[in-house]
Amino acid sequence: MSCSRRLFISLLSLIFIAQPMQAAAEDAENLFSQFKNALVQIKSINIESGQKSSIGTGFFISEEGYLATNYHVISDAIQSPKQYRLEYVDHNDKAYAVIPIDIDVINDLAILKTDHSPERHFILGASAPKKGEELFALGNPLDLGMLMVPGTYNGLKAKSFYQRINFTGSLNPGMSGGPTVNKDGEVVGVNVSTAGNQLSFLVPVSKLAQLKSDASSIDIDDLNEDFFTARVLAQLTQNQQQLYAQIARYDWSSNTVGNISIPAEIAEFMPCWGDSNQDREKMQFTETTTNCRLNDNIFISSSFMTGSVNVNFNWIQSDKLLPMQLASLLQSKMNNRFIQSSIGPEEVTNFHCQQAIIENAHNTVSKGTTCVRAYRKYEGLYDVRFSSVLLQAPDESLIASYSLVGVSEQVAGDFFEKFMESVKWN
Amino acid sequence: MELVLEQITRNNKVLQFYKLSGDIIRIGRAYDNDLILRDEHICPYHAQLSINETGEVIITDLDSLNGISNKSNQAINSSTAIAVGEHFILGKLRFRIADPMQLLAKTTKLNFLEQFSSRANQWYCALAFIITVFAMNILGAFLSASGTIVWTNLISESTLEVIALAVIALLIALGARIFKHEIKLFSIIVLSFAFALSLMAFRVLGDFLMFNWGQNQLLSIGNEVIRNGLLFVFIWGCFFLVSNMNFKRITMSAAVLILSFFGLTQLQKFGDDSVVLVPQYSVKILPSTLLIRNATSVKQHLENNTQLFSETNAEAQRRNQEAKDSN
Repeated sequence: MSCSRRLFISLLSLIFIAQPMQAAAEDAENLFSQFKNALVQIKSINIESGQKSSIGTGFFISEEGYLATNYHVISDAIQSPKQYRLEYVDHNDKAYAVIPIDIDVINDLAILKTDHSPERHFILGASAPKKGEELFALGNPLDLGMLMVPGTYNGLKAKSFYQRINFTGSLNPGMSGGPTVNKDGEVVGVNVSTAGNQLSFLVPVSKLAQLKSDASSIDIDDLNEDFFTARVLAQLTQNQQQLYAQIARYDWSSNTVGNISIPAEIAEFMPCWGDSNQDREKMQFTETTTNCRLNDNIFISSSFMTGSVNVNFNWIQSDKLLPMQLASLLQSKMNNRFIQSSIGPEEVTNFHCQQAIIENAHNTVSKGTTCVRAYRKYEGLYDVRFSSVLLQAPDESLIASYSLVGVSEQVAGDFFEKFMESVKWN
Repeated sequence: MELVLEQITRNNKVLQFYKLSGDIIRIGRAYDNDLILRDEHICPYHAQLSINETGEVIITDLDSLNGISNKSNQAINSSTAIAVGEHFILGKLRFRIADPMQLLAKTTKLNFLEQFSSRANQWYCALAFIITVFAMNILGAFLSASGTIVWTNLISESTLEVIALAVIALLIALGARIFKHEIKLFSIIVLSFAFALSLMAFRVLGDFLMFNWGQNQLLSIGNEVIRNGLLFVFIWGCFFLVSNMNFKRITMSAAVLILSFFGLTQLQKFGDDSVVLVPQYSVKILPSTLLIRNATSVKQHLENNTQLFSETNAEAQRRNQEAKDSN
């Protein structure tokens, strides 16, 4: 091929690549200019100091003045309505009062209402985007003004109990609660969180549509602190029933460590991680740990996160330690267990604990400790921690434990039964 | 004139007595007195005792600096009659003229404790207990070691504990000086180390019970009672060995100390109603050969757990009510 011909082909290619990019940029610019009037900044204002305590993005979803945002943006006003009030700031920098109408703590959504009618509002999309489809996240990152962040739709987050859209775009703090739209300007998701490195998550628009539908039947005169407390309690109760029903249905197929069978997996949305001490020198015992956890917390307030599940198996074997020494080792591990709590002391009671020697249907005997604490505001929900050590062998044992955050007594009991029967000597 | 002069405490306890004779008995700090009192508040020639025509004992102040007082600490005239049994005070020292005809108390046999404490006051008894405690410490540390055992560490830690105990015993022994009592150092060492051994034995028993029955209210109460009981016995023994107090007084003093200590610890525990975010429990694990309790089934354990949920609900309601009342 001659030199001039190669040059011509290269130039032609550049034109074809540049045109779609230019078209996309023009789409984005049009979208932003069309919908910037429907975007607002949501502020939670501390009444006493008059200063904002949290900010996020919101957007109009109806001409009657309904807005959508994340629950966590307005959580202060929901949990402490006498200390916080809400307002939104529009594209002209004007501030207006706004009140919460309904919330969905499981999907981190909230519907607000203002008396002021918007010039423009967003339409909620009816169908899910296609994989690879270009999307545009809108919001007010770091309080720097409304911006648009392009990205790509990559389906729903795999192995997650909660439906979240994988969005390969950089969401920043302040964009929470803002819409992510397709090229037609239809909302396909609500910005909720980021994992960094151009990976962010959106709440599917179907959840927002459901909440909007629920909100339309709410009488504003019924709105008070008790109403929202009841909403949170109902949502948490229903969510934990659904979560643990899935865990109960899941096949906890066995894995063998030493002479003991333990579950290989608790649920597909609870990934398991393992480790051992075999790479360390001069160890008097062999130890392997398996930890399976559901890390997705449900945010209720800055001092109250719930919904996590943590299951742990710690297998220990030793030919070098005497039975008394092994018992001492197991005891120190049992007494040093610490699982981080994301709940403040005003939300819960003290733990009440009970110890017992328990034998399951496989004649496996263990010494177990159950600890329970109640939620003060959400009656019927508890944090339950259980820790047990297998007895019966002088040179080998297993410490099996779990932590269930925000569960009912029935659910805790069902999980305990399945857990106890899943561990046995071979 | 012959008389017996008793030096007494404020409570009429006789510290020592002096058998004196002569027409005039001179009392003072100087070495040419009939009764030499080595106290800096006594003048070289402080007072004298004599007999008058009617046979009364007369005490005369020899122009002393601190004078002579009666039982009520009032200064007495320069020459005053002193009856048998009447107190007089020279400086800080208190005296009484003894009745030579008074009936002496019956001779009492040394009681078991007094005999025991005398027999135990031997260096080899103390050494035996020290070695036993040292060995028990090493054994306990060895049986609870799960890492590589460093014997020098084990021995040095045990030695430090033994030294600490010995120092405590020494300090207790020095307390005998306050009561002007004979110092029975080896007996006190035996008592201290026996107390340490009994605590160890009690802990072993407690561990066994906790392993089988777990932490419960009955065990906690039993633990407090026995521990305080042992402490009471130890403090009682210390008072017995270092002081001149009678049994009744020793018992009262030890009881007051234990009750105060117990009361303060309970006050600290119950005064604090704040929520603790981590479970407060302690698990005891021993080899399964020491398990004597029958196991409960999974279903039975679940039924037993309902009590936990009820307790936490009651606490939640109480705290919510208190928060509402304070608002």
